[in-house]
Amino acid sequence: MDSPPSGLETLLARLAASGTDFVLVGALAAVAQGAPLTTFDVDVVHRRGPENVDRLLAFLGSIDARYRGRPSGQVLRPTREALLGEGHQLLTTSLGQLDVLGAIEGGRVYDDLVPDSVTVEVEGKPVRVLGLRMLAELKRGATTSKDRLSLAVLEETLRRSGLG
Amino acid sequence: MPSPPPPVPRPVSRTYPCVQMFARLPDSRTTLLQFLPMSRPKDPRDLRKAGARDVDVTLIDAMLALSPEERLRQNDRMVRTIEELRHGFAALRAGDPACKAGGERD
Repeated sequence: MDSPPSGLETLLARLAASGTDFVLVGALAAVAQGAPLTTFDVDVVHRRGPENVDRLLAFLGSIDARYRGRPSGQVLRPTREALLGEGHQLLTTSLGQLDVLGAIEGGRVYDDLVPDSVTVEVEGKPVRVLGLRMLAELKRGATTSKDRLSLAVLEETLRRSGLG
Repeated sequence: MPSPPPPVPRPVSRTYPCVQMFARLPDSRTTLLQFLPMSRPKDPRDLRKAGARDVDVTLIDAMLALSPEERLRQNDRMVRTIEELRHGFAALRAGDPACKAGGERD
């Protein structure tokens, strides 16, 4: 049971320091804004322009990123073509699990999410984080019990932070 | 006025805390969920009604009092705790002697 060391804060800070444009989404975005959830991975939606993808690819190489769930001994690394597309790259890295998403629910891409994001500082680097209201909105369309429970937490966090 | 009854001494533990934890809660899934109030299993019939009443507002207020960085660190600490528990249960299942230790210390 070899799992990489957990240090999602470090992973996020290093990604921000790489100069890659991205929006943090998913449970860690909610955690950063005060939702008491626990997550094992970083989910980001990146800008899919060629220059940004090149920066992201270089960063992924520096943290030994490879696809999760491959048979033992098979290492598959993300490619430029994959990162230019809207698919989901579910990766494991030397710093923890990282999901690189070309698009999320409703086909939303980086430029769609920026207006609904806020900026927080992580280890001195500005990180764009999808706002709680939009995170809750995305969860409302979900059907799994885990998402419903998360939605209740997000809505109450919104209320108590004065945003709801 | 009658004097209050003498305090009852607490029983002294004779096993290591980690051994107690694993021994008393043999099912790892149940144990993890008990340690994580946010993940406590719910009756599926209640899921439709899941709302503010089911949410630990104390925990939310505690999180809101932290900075974003502190919240991220809190998540990292929780992840490490869960991983340690997983390793502990895996060792218990594998019959690791360290987890079967008991008796008096020293």
